[in-house]
Amino acid sequence: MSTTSQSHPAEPESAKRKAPTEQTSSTPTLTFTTRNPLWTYLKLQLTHQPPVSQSTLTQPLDPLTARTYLSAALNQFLGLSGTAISIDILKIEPSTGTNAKTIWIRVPAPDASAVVAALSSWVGGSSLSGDANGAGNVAWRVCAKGNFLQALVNGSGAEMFVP
Amino acid sequence: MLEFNDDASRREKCFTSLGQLPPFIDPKQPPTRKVPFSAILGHPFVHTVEVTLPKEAYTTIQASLDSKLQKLRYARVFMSLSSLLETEFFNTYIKKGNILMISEGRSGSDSVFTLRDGILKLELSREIFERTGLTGKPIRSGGRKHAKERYIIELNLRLPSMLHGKKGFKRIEWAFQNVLTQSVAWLFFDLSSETNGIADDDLSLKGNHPQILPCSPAITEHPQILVPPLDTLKLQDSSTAAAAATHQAELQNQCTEVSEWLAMVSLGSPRVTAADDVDPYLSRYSVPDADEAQPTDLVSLRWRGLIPSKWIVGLLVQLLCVFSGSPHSPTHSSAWFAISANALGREAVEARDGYSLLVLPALTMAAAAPSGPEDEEKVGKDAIAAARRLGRHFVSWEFVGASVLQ
Repeated sequence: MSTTSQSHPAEPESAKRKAPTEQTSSTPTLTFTTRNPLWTYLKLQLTHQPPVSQSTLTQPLDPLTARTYLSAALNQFLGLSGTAISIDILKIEPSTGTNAKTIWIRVPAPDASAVVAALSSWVGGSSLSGDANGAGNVAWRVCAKGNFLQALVNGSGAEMFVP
Repeated sequence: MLEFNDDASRREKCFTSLGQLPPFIDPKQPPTRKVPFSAILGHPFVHTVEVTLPKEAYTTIQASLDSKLQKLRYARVFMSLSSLLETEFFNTYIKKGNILMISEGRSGSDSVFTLRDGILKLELSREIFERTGLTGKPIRSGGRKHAKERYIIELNLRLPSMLHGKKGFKRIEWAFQNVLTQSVAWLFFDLSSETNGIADDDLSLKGNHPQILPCSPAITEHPQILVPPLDTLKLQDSSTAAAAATHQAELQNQCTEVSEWLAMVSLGSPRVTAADDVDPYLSRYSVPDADEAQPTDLVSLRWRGLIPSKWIVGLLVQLLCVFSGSPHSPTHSSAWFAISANALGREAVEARDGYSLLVLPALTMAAAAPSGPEDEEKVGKDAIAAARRLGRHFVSWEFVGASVLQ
């Protein structure tokens, strides 16, 4: 973690206004910049390629399936070293309306660009698309990527402009 | 491990500050230059504000917060740029009044307009910029080699020369009538003090047919969340320089972890609940200092809409006020709260994404719950009085440069 730091001294007290004796001056503010944290966070959405049956679309995503899809994507793009990338599933959004099949994961920051490349180039699922089960193909869509989760959690706010 | 260049990730940063809030803040005149106030005021357009605090503390302050906090509403309106300059709207809201407006679109690829303090900013692609015939300056658009340059035009519409009939103003009118003609969705907020975002006597915004949207908090309960010990984030005076350096390195790690934890709470992740027993194959996240973490019920209040920074400063001041209002209540003094906000209209490069602010308890957990019943009153009161003189410790994080599509 490379950081630069500096501390600002407290505001000088004005000479005329004496502070009460008991009041200790507040400690100076400490500021630093974090540039390379350990983790990168991704918000992903699982999309289904048509033809797909309604039951497949409405079926909620479970963590094991999600993990399998993620591993498959990494395996396809990077082989064995791809499957070695550690993935933590932070949350699977409950399937309501537009947020269907959205998951939040974190990966080690140095591997993040490899993960994004692997996920966005992957199409998986049943090999016989349009079979009787209507499973169709699936793909990952990267909705957000950042090194600080707090910057991502509430989205971009773009939907507020849509009536 | 893998040699993939990640330019965007290298530009991401988080500015962290630790310090103490002033012991007394005048609600009519809060500070503007010091962190965390400077962080709040540095994000003029905010789409989500979230307050997270222990449920026990929230139930005691709920009523007073509801009554003291200014109600919010904002408008969504479809307007073209030329209708901004129509005499009635222009005089009421731009010359005399003070409004906040932001248009839809993604900075870096669409034409994006913002209006703040009478200054209209237009971010345009090169072709459109050249057709407008107005003066502007190039801006950073991502530094990609073959991406086209983009330009920003800044028009201060409050200047005395900005009047209908003046020559320079006619050029702006011409550009808005002939080049930037499309009607776009805007969010509108009236900053006049007596209105709650939209003036009651002008619900049609001078005939522009807005959709007026109330902005009230959505309350979410997060039961049994593991809360890491927060007292360790307080700045301490270290005697030696070496001790100070190691302490600072520790603090930096802790700050990153606590920021992640706060975000996990606002995400509603099951990983931070006490009952979570996920397999390490799926997630290896653990709450920082998990062995000392206390399961606590938390509540979060989330406002969504166009929220001006001044209102957020008001929110912070109100929260500080209600928590220091009854000095002899240990619940209040041992309460912590966090405010986080996410910015709207981020620029294409190194955009300011938002910030979060954690205000630490005035007392340590140990002082708030003393062992002996007789000591309780005395120790508690002394400690609370001492804490009140000093002002609360805080940690603030400002985030820059994340990539968010949705």
